[in-house]
Amino acid sequence: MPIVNYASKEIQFKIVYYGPALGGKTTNLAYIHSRITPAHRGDLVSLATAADRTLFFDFLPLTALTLQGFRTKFQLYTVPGQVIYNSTRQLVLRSVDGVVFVADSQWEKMEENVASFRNLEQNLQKQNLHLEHVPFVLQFNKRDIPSVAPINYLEYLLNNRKRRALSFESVAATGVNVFSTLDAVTQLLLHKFKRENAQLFAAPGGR
Amino acid sequence: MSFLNWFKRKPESSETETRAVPGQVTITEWAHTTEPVLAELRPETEPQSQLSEDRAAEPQPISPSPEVDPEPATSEASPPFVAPQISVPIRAFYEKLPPHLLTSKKPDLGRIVQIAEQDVVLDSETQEATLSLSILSLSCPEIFNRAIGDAEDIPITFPIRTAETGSEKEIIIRLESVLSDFPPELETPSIRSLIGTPVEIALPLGLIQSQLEHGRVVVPGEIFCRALSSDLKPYFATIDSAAEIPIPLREIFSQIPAEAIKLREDQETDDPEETIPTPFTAQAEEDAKRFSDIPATSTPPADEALQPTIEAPQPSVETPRIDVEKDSKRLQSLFMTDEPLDLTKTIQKVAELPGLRACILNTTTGLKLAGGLEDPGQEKTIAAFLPELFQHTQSSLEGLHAGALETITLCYHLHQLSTFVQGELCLTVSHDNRPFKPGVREKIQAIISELSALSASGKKIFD
Repeated sequence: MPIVNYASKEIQFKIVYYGPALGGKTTNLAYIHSRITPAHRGDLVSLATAADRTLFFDFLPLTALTLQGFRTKFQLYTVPGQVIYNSTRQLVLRSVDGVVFVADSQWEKMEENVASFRNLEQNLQKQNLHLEHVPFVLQFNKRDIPSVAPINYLEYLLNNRKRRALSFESVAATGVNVFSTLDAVTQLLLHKFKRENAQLFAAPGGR
Repeated sequence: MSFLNWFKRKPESSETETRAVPGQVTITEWAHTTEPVLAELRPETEPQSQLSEDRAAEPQPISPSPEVDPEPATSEASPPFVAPQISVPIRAFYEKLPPHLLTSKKPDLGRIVQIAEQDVVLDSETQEATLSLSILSLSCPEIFNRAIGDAEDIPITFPIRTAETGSEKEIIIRLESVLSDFPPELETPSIRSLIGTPVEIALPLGLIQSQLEHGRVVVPGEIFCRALSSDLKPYFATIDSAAEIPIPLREIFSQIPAEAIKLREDQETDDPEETIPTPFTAQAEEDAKRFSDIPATSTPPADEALQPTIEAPQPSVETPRIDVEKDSKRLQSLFMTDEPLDLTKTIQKVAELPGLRACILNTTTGLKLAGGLEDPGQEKTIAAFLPELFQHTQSSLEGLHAGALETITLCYHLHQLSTFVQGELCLTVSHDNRPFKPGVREKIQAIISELSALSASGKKIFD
């Protein structure tokens, strides 16, 4: 649920990058951080272990467009992918407004993708949320690696539900489709916000 | 079912989960929990065909082999009659069970449990099976938090769908690919000796297909051994019948029919009627334009690679030929710059990546191409030693089946040296005594891949 501050005229959205360990979630944030003008972003806070693995979470605050007189802020988070950090993932997922699931396209990561996806569904369920109702996009990362699974199999594994999510082939290390993914999830959550806050949009400037 | 039965029947129904029992019916093919379950009821009482020696060339239907495929424990005691059983994955009925009777830990839903056929009412019209909860609990007591008493007993109905008996389809798998991913704990020297043997085995397609949705496919040791030709069986005699043999997905997808994986047909997509400009739309469009002419992989296009080139006579020391200036679009995108890049600038830009101190590009034969290290005295040693170390490590550790080796990092007291080798090129970076910052290692890997691709395409080297 976005945080709307009527006093300071701010709306704050939280987008969480979810997915298996070493799938490229932090790399997504690092690329976004490198491309956004410093005036519109904060520092990328990243707590990583010695082996490049996210220990707690990454956090990137972005300040952006004005929506009906309200300044929007986006907070991008990643979760630690390793199985053992589930309580951290649950914590990071609290009050999430949009989810990007970053799947690792390598053949040997298919089982981890499925496990992580199920874990996402379970953790959302604990908050009485369901993917059907959360703005959500899929990103099939590492498409530049030679040994990757075909897209139709990734779709079959992760996108075979009644509501088909938007999906993107990406190479987060170089930036391919990193912003397209972020743009898509942002579109979805802004649409949802607009639908659910019709009164805010009916009266410009809010109450 | 009385509480006493919990203890009476538990051992025989829970221990033989994946073993074939005479008269057993196996449900092998499953769809989503909420949808009708795909099942193949394959009575094992049907006549068994004899395995032929040339099975690899012409796969035969699976049949047990007496010498390495002993009867299960239940048969060893020579019971006069074993009731036919059906094998069902837990997922088929898990969601139908009363949640308050289940343990908090979610079980492996793909695990097969066996239920005596006489306890199940099969409805072929609705393609459903019904049995009492108390009987079901005997087949998998570990998923329940207590025994099911008479007062709690309810019928459980779950969907199944039968396929034509006796017409089970098979998939041909190369044994070599299975061995490349063989569990180390099961691998023996005799099994290892088979690596490289060009043999194919036939496995039940239904069994494979039913597991594709999990992202991992395994076959029980028993089925795997049955699929082997008789001359290969002795090599695998130590494999437990219940052991899980992983079948590499890549191999499966090289053989599987396209219709094996299908997205559901009733899918709906979000199609917003209006586009709201987001703060990221501009960057997304910019990136899309920038990456539009970049191939998804770093491999050069086939036609480019095959283009005849008019070349000057080769120097005596064969060096890779890289025309970075002409082909630097991908490198430009990697560095997010429009500035023209030559090899020197490229290497200089690598050295400027966060956390890096210096960078040198050599050939694997030790020839320096660009860049340098902080201590020029180190360069010769590094050029001579690191590519060799990398290649030696790579070939020595091939048996780990951990994929291609990408980097070797040497940690010194004050700094670290990481080496990336691709084709004929060796890129060594000196960095802070910290791990790579997120994305940096991947970026260096992408750069060396691109340089190597340019080199392989036979372009003129940048002087």
